[in-house]
Amino acid sequence: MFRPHSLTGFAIKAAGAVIGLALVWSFISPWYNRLLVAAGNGLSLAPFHLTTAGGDIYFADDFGQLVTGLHGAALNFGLILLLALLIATPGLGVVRRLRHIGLGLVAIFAVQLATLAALGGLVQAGAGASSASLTGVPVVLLCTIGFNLFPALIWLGLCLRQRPWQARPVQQPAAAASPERP
Amino acid sequence: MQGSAAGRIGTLVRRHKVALKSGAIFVAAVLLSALVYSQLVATGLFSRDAAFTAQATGFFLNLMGQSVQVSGPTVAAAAFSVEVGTGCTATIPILLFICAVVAYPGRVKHKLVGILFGGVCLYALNLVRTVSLFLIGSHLHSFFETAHLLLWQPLIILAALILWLVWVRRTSRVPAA
Repeated sequence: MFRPHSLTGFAIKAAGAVIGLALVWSFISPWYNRLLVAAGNGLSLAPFHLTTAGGDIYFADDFGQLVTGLHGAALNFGLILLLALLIATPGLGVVRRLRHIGLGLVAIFAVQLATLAALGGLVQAGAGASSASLTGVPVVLLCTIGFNLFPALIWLGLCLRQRPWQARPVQQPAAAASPERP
Repeated sequence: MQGSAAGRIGTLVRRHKVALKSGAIFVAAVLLSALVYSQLVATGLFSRDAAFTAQATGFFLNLMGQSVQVSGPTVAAAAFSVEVGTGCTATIPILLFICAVVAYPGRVKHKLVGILFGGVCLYALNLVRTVSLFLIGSHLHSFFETAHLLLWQPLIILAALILWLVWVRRTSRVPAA
């Protein structure tokens, strides 16, 4: 007998997780952004010095002048989406779920660092400072589409074996599957 | 050894041919979308979409008894105003949904129905988002940024993903011709 995973249940759990995580993350975000900035500066990924102010991330030049900034929360929503999806995915054991969450956090952290590095490169090229340059294909790919797409792709990559889009066989209890006849 | 490795890769490619093909189509569709999007932004098409979204948002807010004025992409009340940016429209979630539907194997007819249904659902949900954000901004202003960036942005992408999963499941049930 086949019974599909309840997509409604998955959707409700994921939406609930997004709401819970968003509320919690608004408090964690400044610390997380500091960690991101420290890693970015440590790896010298961006051509500018990265700094945080008021929960947001800024690119500063050699004189400490803020060149341009990025809303900290805008960079973090993908992380919330990924965590919510991993929390809500049916059919994952606790250990595997925690392992996936760890791997997902590392992956999304790497994506965020790559985004900062790419945006820094664009700012240095004089392209990222104006809003008109935000129409460039690399920026659209990385920020406009990538911000939304990467969390879902990382989730699909991690949970490919669970195949949440497919009906899965449900193991029936032996007694129910083959009832004993008197 | 090399022959063995090549053989293994060949076997893997043959075994996952459909998935690889879908993945390649998806990547191509996303790249094409980025190209088209970047060209269309320059034409001002998305600004008109943002203005239309603002008009629709204002319409529903006025229906709810909030007396708001709409001017271009700006929705304004006495105490609060907000500008609907091009990123605040349903364009990106709909684009991603279309890319995913196009990439997944299935009949063209089912894909068209899926795109139409998913597009309408995502557009409607985005209106719920803009209306609710205006209400949050008006009555609970300190929560606005959290709701705008941390809450609604993941929720709308989650909705696109769920709609795609629903479409995939329904499409998979239809027997092949």
